[in-house]
Amino acid sequence: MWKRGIAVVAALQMLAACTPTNSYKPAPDLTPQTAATLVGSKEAYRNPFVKDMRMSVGAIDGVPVGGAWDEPVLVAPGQHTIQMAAHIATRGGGIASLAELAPAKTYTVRGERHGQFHATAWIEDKDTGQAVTERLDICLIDAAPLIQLLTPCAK
Amino acid sequence: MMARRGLWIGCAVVAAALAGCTPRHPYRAPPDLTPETGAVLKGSRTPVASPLAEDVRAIVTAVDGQLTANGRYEWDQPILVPPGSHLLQLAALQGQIKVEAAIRVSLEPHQEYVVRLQGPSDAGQPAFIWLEDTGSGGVVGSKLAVAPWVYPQPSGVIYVPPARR
Repeated sequence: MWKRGIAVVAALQMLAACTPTNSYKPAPDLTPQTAATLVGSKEAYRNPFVKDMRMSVGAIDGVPVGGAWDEPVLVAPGQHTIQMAAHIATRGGGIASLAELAPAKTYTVRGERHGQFHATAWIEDKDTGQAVTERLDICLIDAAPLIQLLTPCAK
Repeated sequence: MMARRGLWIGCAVVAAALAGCTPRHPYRAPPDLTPETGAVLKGSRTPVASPLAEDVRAIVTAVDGQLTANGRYEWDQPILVPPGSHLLQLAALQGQIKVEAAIRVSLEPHQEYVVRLQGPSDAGQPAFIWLEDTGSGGVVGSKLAVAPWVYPQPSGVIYVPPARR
């Protein structure tokens, strides 16, 4: 019985270590009408052997954002450094960019995959489809150490 | 015959894997550019007190969307860029911890610029990455607040919690 208790405590400690302790929290008075809303996106591919790519908001002004890729994030209007993150199965990467965000607007983090180890990321206005950042290159790094060694942009 | 076919398949797999590793658009400076007519971009290396930790290397990873050849082992290789407005991707690496940010800056001819990183000052604080004019020591553009993250683990991309920085 006590062995099970130790296993549960160990599992909880491991999970606690993985959780960023300083996750981004929007100001309590922000609403979708007074704030800008950032949301991730999913790039699905027809090829069944190519995994979907999920784009998400990684961090805002250097503070990591927790939650799922499709969870909307409220941000105070104005200029912010938005860190975009890309995830494809065991591969991932991210890049930050300055973006000017307007109130009551929704912005989508978009991505486009280029080959095995690169993707392009940008933020666009959901209504107009206009990009508010430039298209930036993301190096996709694999979790497997051997593939990491073969990835030039991971060196 | 079967062995030869296997060899061909093996060669094709290796060739495909290597092709996937090749940068899409490698950055190449115009051939007539010199340090006098162009701007020089340099990386920096910040020593870390702990003998168990790698030094922090800050580099330019892309110029106008074209990837440079600079990595953690080529951090000191200067990059020549024509003067004017450019979109630069700046990165800092320490072991498997990485930050990367993009900024549009205006570069002057015959000027030298260096990528700098300031680690988190305290638990819960972000890191800052920026381009510095080596002549004046001033910040070019602005300092960008970034959250350091660790290379993907089997569970996904992990942002570094402040207690582990």
